[in-house]
Amino acid sequence: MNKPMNVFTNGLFRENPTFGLVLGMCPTLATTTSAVNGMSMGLATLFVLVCSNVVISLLRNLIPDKVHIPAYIVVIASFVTMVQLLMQAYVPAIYETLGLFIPLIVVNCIVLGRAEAFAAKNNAGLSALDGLGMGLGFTLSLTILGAIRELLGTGTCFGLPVFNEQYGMLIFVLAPGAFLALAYLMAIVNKIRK
Amino acid sequence: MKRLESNFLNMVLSLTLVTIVAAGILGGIYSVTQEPIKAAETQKTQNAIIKVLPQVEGLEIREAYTLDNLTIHPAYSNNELVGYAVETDTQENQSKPFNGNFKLMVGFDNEGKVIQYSVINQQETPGLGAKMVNWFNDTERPSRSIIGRELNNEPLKVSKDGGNVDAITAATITSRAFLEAVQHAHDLIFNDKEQTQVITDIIESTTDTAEQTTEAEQTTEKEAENE
Repeated sequence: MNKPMNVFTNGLFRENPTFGLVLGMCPTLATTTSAVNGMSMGLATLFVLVCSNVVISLLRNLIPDKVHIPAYIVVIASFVTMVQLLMQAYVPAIYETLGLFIPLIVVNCIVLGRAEAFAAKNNAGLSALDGLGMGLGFTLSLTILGAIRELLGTGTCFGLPVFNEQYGMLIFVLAPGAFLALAYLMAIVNKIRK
Repeated sequence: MKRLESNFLNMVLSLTLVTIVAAGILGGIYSVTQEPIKAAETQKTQNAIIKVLPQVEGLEIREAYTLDNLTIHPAYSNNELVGYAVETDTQENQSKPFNGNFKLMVGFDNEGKVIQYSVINQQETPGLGAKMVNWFNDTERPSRSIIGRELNNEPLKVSKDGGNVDAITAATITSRAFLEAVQHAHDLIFNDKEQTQVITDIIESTTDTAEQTTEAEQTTEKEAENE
């Protein structure tokens, strides 16, 4: 099971963080108001996931069991702060839209979940692959969800107009629409998986 | 390699090491990114100022001053006052925004006409209140645009409250807060004759000081030459 390819594709589809493991619902619902927002959030999480998985996997034998959660959280929080500072400095426009949610990556269960479930038991290479797969799976689902909500809510896709905005269903941009779209997507994905 | 045993010494040591290393790395990154972050913020304010001021040749933005907690950037062209860019917010509003406070940059010409505005930061609902970024400057729809309006005689109000500005669809609360913030900035400069005098005085005094400093510098230079 631990063949590199399996590890990588695992996160993409079979154990997709959003539709399979149902982890990290807070950023999933909150940031997917548009496709671009969802994708940027996914990519930021991807970066943190890969980095923290590698570091935690390297440190896994140096950290005693009883304090492993605080130690992991410190590692994850450091990478998140790094992402936040770097984004603020070099891509202020994206930081503006996501600013509020970047610090929340620290408490995103996917990151700690993968550290616990995978990185703490496997070597650095495999952990990096796992982080990459999970991160890409998360990015993919956030982008799809964001694109659907953006299209139905405002009539645009990645900012490009598809139909007139006045026919958009505003509810899809707001929280209830996030739940609706997510529920239908999850049902479809689960149907295909079975 | 076996995992370290969970005894007191190991736990304290490993946690301390992890936090110290993390703190060191973050400190390094902070000091590297501090400058670009500041530059990005100044750049943003500068862009906002330029966006809201008249597009005339030789536009020169003089030193900003603060009045009632609002920052005012006077703009000159050929040494003549052509307008103001005012950083205004919803801090002192009667009608508060829907979500937190927001900050705007509003440009006025000499007579108090709105030239343009720019939203510096806001946390309104995407798809609703957040539309204010380009709702009130759509010049093709005069019933909602505030560009070119004279605020001296007719204060900005949404049509629901008896005014003549169309509020953002389903975001009247945001619209009220927005219009009030713009009006507040305007009133601060133009409505009160005394206030306007104060502003003119401040502007003149800063210009004077600037001239005086140059004179003073020249005198020192001369003195230095004499010596």
